[in-house]
Amino acid sequence: MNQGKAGVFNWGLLATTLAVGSVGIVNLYSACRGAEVNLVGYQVLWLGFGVGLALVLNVMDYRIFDQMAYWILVVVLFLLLSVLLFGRVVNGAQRWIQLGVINIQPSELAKIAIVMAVAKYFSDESSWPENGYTILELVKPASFLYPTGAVGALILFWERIEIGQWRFVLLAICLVWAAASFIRALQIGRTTLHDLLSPVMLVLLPAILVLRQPDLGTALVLFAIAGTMILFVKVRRFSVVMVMAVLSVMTVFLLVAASSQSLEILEPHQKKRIMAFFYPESASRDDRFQAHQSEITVGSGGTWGKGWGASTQIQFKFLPEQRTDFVFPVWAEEWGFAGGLFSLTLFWLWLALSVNAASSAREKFGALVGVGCVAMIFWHIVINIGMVVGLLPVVGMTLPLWSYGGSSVIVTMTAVGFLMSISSRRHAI
Amino acid sequence: MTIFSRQHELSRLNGRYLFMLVVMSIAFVVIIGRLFHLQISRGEEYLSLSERNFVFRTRQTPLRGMIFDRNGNLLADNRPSYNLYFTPAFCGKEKFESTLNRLVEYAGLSDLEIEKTREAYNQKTRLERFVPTLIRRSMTWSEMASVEQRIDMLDGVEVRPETSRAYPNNTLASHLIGYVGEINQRQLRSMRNMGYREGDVIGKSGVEKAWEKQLRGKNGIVLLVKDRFGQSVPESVVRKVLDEDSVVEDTIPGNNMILSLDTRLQELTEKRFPGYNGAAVAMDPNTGFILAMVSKPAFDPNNFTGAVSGRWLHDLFRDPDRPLTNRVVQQHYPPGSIFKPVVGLAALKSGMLSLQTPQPCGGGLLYGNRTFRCWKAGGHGNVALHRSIVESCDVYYYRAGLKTSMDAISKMAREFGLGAKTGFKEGEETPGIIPDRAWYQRHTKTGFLPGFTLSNAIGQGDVNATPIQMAVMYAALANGGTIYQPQVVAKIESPTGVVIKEATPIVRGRLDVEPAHLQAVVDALSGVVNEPGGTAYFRRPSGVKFKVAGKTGTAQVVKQGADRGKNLPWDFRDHAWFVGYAPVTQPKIVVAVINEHAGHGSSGAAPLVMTMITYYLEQLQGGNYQAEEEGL
Repeated sequence: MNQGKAGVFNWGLLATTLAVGSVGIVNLYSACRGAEVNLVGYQVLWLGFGVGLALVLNVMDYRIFDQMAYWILVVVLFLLLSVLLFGRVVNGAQRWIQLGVINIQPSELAKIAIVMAVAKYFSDESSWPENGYTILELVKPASFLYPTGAVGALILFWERIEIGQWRFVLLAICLVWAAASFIRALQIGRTTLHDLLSPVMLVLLPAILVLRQPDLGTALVLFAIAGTMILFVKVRRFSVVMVMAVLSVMTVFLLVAASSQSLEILEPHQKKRIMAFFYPESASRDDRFQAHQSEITVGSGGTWGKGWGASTQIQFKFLPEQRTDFVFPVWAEEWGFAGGLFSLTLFWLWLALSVNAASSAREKFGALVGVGCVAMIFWHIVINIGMVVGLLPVVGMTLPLWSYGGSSVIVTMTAVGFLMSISSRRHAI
Repeated sequence: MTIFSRQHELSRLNGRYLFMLVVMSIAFVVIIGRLFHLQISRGEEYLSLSERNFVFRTRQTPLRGMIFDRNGNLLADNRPSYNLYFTPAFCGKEKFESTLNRLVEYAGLSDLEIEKTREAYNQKTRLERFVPTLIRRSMTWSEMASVEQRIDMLDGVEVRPETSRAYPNNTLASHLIGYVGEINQRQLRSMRNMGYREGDVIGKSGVEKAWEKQLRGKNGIVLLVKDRFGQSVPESVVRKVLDEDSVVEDTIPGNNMILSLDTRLQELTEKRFPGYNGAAVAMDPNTGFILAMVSKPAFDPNNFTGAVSGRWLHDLFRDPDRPLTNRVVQQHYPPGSIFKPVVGLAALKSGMLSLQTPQPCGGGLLYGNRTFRCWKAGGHGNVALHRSIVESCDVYYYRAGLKTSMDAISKMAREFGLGAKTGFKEGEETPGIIPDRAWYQRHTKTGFLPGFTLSNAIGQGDVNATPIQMAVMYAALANGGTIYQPQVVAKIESPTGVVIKEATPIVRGRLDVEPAHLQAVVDALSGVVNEPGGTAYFRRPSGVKFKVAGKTGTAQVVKQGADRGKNLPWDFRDHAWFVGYAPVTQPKIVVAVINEHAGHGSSGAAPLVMTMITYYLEQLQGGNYQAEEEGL
């Protein structure tokens, strides 16, 4: 292979990314009409910063992250913990850490961290089984992450565990378990760190912390990203069926949890949204209002739309969150089905070029990072548009490069940077 | 691991990338399909929904029709009223509590009103949330001012200048005019399709209720352009959005009612009413139109509009004197002696007694093992029909009743319209009771016993009649036998004064009695007032050129001993009745008065009747009647 030859700069991906971003800016301009602060300027700044970041990542060899992947995850886990403990509450959820003037959202970083960690895990595997992994191989119950997670969960939920003094017994058991795992980990000769890790737990730990914020949307997307990557490395058919079955049971459980008044597993606003989606008739006022108005906004666009800046739904303030999660309906209302088709084609092209970039990886870590980045972008697009057109429940999910927000733009552009970096090294080994 | 094997492993992945892209594309196709469904298949529908989002069809309630008396005096009016409304959709979740607290501070919302606001906010769904809920009717000026001043901080709150019902004469004719109030849930269910909505005002009793359809008018619909928070939008936007006239349906005020009532007579009757509880009704005997209708005690219908205190309402409904009951039509009483003309006519018609047949009265009649007493312990001696009415001899009627039979008496009573509703629309009438043999079979264990006839023959026992039935009956005696349906609405006019309907007398029936018999009874009724020895002789008006005919009645409330109830507690004492009309030959007014627990009819009720008749004929009619000779 052409070792040493400088890689190819992926102009196509960068251009498409910029095109998506530009259309997003045009749309955001319309969505911000009448707003006090001009968010478009900030968004352009974020986008510019993001492009810079992508270019830097493109030049850097992404493989240095192979060494750092687990450390990144540990840092993110710490950030997620601290956000729960000291974070700023916005809209009833603790998602932000304030560092001087910059507010960071660790849950956004968690997406990248998970892509890295899962890619690292599977690239460390000596070989991927031909028929795919079994559930047991993915869960790896012997992993020391379990007692670690259990201790963490106990400490985190300490006040809410209502079993009195038995809590201490439980904690002691978990500590002994963790110590035993640790001692086993010390026997480095026989086992490696890799053997002690469970890919499922790598995802589960940050996802649970994110769910605690509470941020159902991000937690779901973390699972979706990791799930896509794991499916990519192949899972046995029987295991997939099993997981599907478990997921179905969990969906039913979720429905029960959402409809039950006494079970306090979900937050009230999550319950309401889920119920609003499954039983729109019984849902009351504000919960269904958002989804209903979103559908009206999209539908009222018709074939050709009302024209740029002519969204009556915004003029009369009927569309909530029209600058962030509900930015797509503005586009659909103003440009109609034609515009919707155009934007979806653009998004699809972006994804196709991303898949193409990922497929050019010449080693497993790169391939998996690429797949993870594609999955992240894909799930955001599909869940966001799916929910605003009423196909999915409203969970809180940004539309990449279209929704206003620095964290979202930076994380998306990081993914693009990795993809460009991968394709730049397609000939290198 | 060799480069080759690594390359081999990676090349295995190529198909997976393609598979991934295919799956992703399928998701996109699904989304495009959904967009097609929303935007093209149902685009029109959603477009109109999005327009309905900001163009609010607002209902405008019309001015309620006014009520006048026969001389054009205003009885029910509309006055400006600042009403507080709250629209749930315009108030964000996070702002609701603070808005409510501010309202409590500025407008002093009561617990009930707070509850109402909360209920509206928590229970309304979808489009209902855009319908303003009435929180407070008739705010005071200072409340209105302090709310208006901070209206920017009160999301979804609105003060609308509207009107509310006002009764300038307060308690005057309150039972007849009735009152209005907010529609209740039961009415709302049945009347929703007639355009009624929560918070609407509806007639609850009297004319207000009976003529609701005429008084109400027609709701209008106007288009208002507002944003989601209920704020007005700039005029330029309004013009862009509304290309049509903003008035969709005109608001049409209700029609005005002109009653046959004479406020002056009504006022006099209420002022001069001699007791606490009772009723008086004056009617034109030739048409059935009501001239005055008094029920005591009265209430002030103004208290039902505006902020109605629950405590006050509770007390009102629990008041043992039942001020809301219109005793003229809703309360039946034993008629006592005023029932005697019915029995007399029945006896004459049956042929068992002639006009001259005398009956002995020794102060009582032994029947079975019981003595049925005459009110005059010493007895009346031999009396025929004329003196039996003039002096109200009870024994004559015991005997007449026995000779005539229960069923013949009740048949005659029914001819007079007793035992059935008179057809008066402006009150929930009670039909009274006229028992016959069949009635006793149904209502008593023993079945019919001849002894019942004796009690019923003097208007006691189980006979019951309302004051208005008595007025109708005596009107028939006065006018030669025509039973009129009592009416109070003389004319209905449109808001611009065009006469829509003019009421004409409604004849419900004619007495089937011989003119000679009727004349004899009429003569006797005149004798009651004008002949020495008549039970109301000392009550006859003096210095007038007309004569009054009438009958006293003293209705027993409980069975009394020989002392005629002199020592009984107040609410066991007799009811005093007097029904009379004048002038005797060409009657212009018939009056029925019952004064509860006031003792004898000649003292407890007759004076008021005389006062009313004199005032009506001399003052209100200006002496415009045919003079009658003394001794007629």
